[in-house]
Amino acid sequence: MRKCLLLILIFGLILTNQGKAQKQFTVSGYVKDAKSGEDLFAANVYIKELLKGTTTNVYGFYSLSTEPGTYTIVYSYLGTTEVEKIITLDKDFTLNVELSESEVITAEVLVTGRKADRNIEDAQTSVIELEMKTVKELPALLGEADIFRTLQLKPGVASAGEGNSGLYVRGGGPSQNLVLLDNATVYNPGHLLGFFSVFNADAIKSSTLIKGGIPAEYGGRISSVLDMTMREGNMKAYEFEGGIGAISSRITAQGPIIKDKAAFIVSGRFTYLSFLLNPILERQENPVSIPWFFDVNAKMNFKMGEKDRLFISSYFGRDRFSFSSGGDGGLSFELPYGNATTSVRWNHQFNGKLFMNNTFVFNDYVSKISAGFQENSFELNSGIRDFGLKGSLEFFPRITNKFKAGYEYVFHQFTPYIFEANIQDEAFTSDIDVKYGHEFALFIQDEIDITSWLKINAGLRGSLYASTGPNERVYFDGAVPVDTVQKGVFDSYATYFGAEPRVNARFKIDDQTSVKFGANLNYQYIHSVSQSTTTLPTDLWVTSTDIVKPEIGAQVSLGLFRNFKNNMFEMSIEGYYKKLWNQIEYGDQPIVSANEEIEDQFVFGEGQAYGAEFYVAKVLGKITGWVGYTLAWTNRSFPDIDNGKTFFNRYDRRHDLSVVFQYDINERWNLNATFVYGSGQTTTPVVNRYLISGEIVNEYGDRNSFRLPAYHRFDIGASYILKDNNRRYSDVNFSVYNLYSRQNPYFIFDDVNFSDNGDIAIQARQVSLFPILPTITWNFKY
Amino acid sequence: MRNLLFAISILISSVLVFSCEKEIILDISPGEIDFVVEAWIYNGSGPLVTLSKQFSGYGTFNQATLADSLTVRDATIRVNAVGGNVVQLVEQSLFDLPSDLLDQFLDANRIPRFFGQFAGQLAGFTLEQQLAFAENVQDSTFIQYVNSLNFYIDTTNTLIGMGGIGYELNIEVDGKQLNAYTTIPIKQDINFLSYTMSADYPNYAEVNVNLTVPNNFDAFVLLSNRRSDTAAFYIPDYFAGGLSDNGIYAGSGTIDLPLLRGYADNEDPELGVLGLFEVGDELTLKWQNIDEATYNFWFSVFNDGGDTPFSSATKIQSNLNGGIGIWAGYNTSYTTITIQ
Repeated sequence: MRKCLLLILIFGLILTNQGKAQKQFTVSGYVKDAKSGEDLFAANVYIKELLKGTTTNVYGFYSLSTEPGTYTIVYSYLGTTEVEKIITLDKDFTLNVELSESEVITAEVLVTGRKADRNIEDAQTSVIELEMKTVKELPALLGEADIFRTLQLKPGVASAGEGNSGLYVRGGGPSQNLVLLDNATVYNPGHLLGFFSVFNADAIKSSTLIKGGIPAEYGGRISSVLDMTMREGNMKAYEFEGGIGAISSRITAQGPIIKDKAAFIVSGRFTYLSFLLNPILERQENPVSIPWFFDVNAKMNFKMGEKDRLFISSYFGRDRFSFSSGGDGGLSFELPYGNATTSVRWNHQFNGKLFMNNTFVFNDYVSKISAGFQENSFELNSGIRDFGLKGSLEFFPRITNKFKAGYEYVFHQFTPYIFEANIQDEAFTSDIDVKYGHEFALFIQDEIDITSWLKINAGLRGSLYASTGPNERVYFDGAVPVDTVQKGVFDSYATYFGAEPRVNARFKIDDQTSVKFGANLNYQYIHSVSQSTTTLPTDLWVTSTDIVKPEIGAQVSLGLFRNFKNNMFEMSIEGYYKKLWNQIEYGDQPIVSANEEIEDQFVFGEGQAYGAEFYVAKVLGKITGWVGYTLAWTNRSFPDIDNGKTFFNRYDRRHDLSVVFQYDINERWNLNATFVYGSGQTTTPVVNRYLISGEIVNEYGDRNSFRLPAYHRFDIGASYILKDNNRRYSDVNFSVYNLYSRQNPYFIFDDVNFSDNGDIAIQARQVSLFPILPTITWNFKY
Repeated sequence: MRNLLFAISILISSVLVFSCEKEIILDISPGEIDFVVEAWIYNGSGPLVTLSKQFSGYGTFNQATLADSLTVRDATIRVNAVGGNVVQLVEQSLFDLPSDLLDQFLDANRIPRFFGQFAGQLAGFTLEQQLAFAENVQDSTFIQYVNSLNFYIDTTNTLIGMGGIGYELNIEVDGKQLNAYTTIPIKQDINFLSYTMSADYPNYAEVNVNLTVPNNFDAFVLLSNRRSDTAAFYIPDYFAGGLSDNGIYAGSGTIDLPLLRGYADNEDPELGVLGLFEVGDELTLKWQNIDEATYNFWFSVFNDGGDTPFSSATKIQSNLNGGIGIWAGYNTSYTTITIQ
């Protein structure tokens, strides 16, 4: 607590000093895209004479306060022509600017557009900002442009191998990432059992992954933050765009509701492979079925005067796997699951220095398994639903200082595995109740240039969590219920408090070089644990309770950042160490089905992760791309697993290499290639076997003590612009996934065959998913 | 939960519809070789112990040669009822087993898999008849296998299993000590079996077991069934059909428990009639009350899905100290009904 008070005191002193400085005036406003009227996030705004500036926030707002004088303010953004405004700053005023797309993308435009040395200047360390253009251009599995798979090409984000688009960031698991879409949490970001992410690149405006030094405004997860914003809709004209791919098609419509006042965007995707193939596949001797999905992103934004904006955004996605066989009374099975999110955000600009945002958030993730068999039926429901309020105040007292404070409250409602069954006219239902949790947090953070070479972004987050009723909790001894505890709305099973300091510091060596340090302590109060080695839609989110303690993660990172050749090349080397407490796994024993309190099946332990990330990128010119390499270790130790022996985590990748190449041959042709290499994933091997009643029983070695063969893959792609004029655009994208058809291991299993002559053949067999897969996608826009 | 696993197994097959697989050579270091015990004591019978070793690696193994190489002889094995006398068991061949122990061993859910291929023809016949059958089909592996089997039994007939009694097993072999403890639970009486004809399949019936459970009765159950006098007993090891734990029964009073049909390995029933019994079946239910350790052992054996993206490796829960396997007490009862 004393540390908290000390930090608050420091913030207070900083703010007080601002007041004592010379009289200042403020120029503030919004930076927008000239063609669509959309806000531009992270546009660069700087004062030429001072060589100081800022970037716009996610709503396109900027604020610069400095001494009176005449200044040239330069506005720039990726792919746009920069705009200069000469102002005499003798009073506070508003200056909104629209940036136009550059006619020709030259190296010079890109230099100014991207704020070329931002990676050197910013205090934030361990951050990846992904451009949607890159996501769409790179070769993709089955032609599906995928944000997660592109992020996996960056250092520190492990490529989880085939069939898993989950993000494994610096040794953390997928459930330890905070995935935000317009401030709403997305709990299961995977379509088709995790083969693709749920985010439609057509609907996403920006995507930022923070791997370390997580700012205080983010909380609730211990590994990383992926903050995505949806496009806002064209304020000036109607636009339609879409694409037809191998497994899915997508369509986006946007336009003004009231020109320059209100706009909408609706973007949808759906798959069709299942409708074509399932009728055939389900008639096979061993019938199977292909799942399908759809998702819709929709957003509206309204200008309510000069100082107020309202954004309403929603995502709705569903996957469904259905299967039936055996005719009447045979087996029927359905697995629908999906996310729904809605956020309503209200911005208010009090003045040029003070900006407020309030958000109401609704998230809902549901998963259901229903099965019918003869006259019996079975249904298993699970999910998590949130109602939340978040708010923040951004204060820009000086050009060198950004202050932000805010609050967050989320009411969680957890649906555990609740079943309903009808077996031979007798109905069975779960005795287990819905769980509730209240998560509350306050934060303050300040980014300040202390000197010309030292910039600090420091903050503190205080979090509070209570798991409450109204419900009852049954306590079991094995499978037998022995006690029941009832709690009311205001009674808690457990209450936890977390003080979470965060800091990023940038030490500038010269204009091309900086050293950055980041540290953060995070608490995670809700958890998801998988029984399998991948994330499944049936994985359950659970609350912290008297049994399940909050997960805690602490990380420090240190990096050297260096640009070369007038910022044409970027290079970074970052090292990190992460310590994790109260980690959760299932034990070595199978689940006891009669005990419905899933937390009784958990075991608890600790973990750590450490490594080094190397990154070299060419960001300008006709040829661009990057090479990323990560050398990493991540392990866990649980007293109840292998007698406490430390084991490598499932996400442990000793070596992870990505090479990305992009070549704009001319105005029509673009070539791309990616190569990835990752150390084999760990698995738990069979070390011995024995006979029980003539059957072979496996004895497993220590957890994850064997490593599968390495994963590597080479993809190529090309885009050809068929038409590009003011009214219409279309291109065709060719991609070849896994060009040399590497059979990468998905998993291995023991195949045991008994033959009539009394022989037992035992083979290890490797299952691989995707051989060479060429695809064509047609994209259009008008 | 088992239904969940079943659902996921369908998902796996669907995910793998476009997958390919190949044999792979793995360089896995074998673990330390432990002694393996499979031993039981039924109510009304003496103990029966088999002792073997683990093996490792990949390749093709002849079952008879393998069984012979793994069988452990010359062990000193003692069993005692808690508070009772200690008896030392004596090595015997299959041919020397008393009929009750021989029947226990030959029950289909206990006999080796290749033997199970003939179980439909062989069960219910004497061992001599079965061997003659094997000779007829020139199954030398089977004969060799039978000859390799080695059992430790109480030849004095002084130790007879009883419900509610605990039993200790002590083994000395190759300088190692193995021990375990089990109980034969109190028998849980079955009131009756009943059936109702399937609405969709007129020649098939759904069967229920009606039983009354006293309060706080620790009723762990392993069950199997056979469908005629000459058929073997099979465990319905799908839909959690073969095992029940005490959480399902505790304090339930009188309940009807659905009984699913067990299948031999070589049977491939249609999904529509999975678990149903046929008109004309003379159904015998073998109901075995077991203790929690025995339940945990079989539960872990049945639930091992391997370490795949959709399942996790399961450590088998043995009650042996110094070795692996199971020392089980079974309180067994049989109930019969004819589907008409």
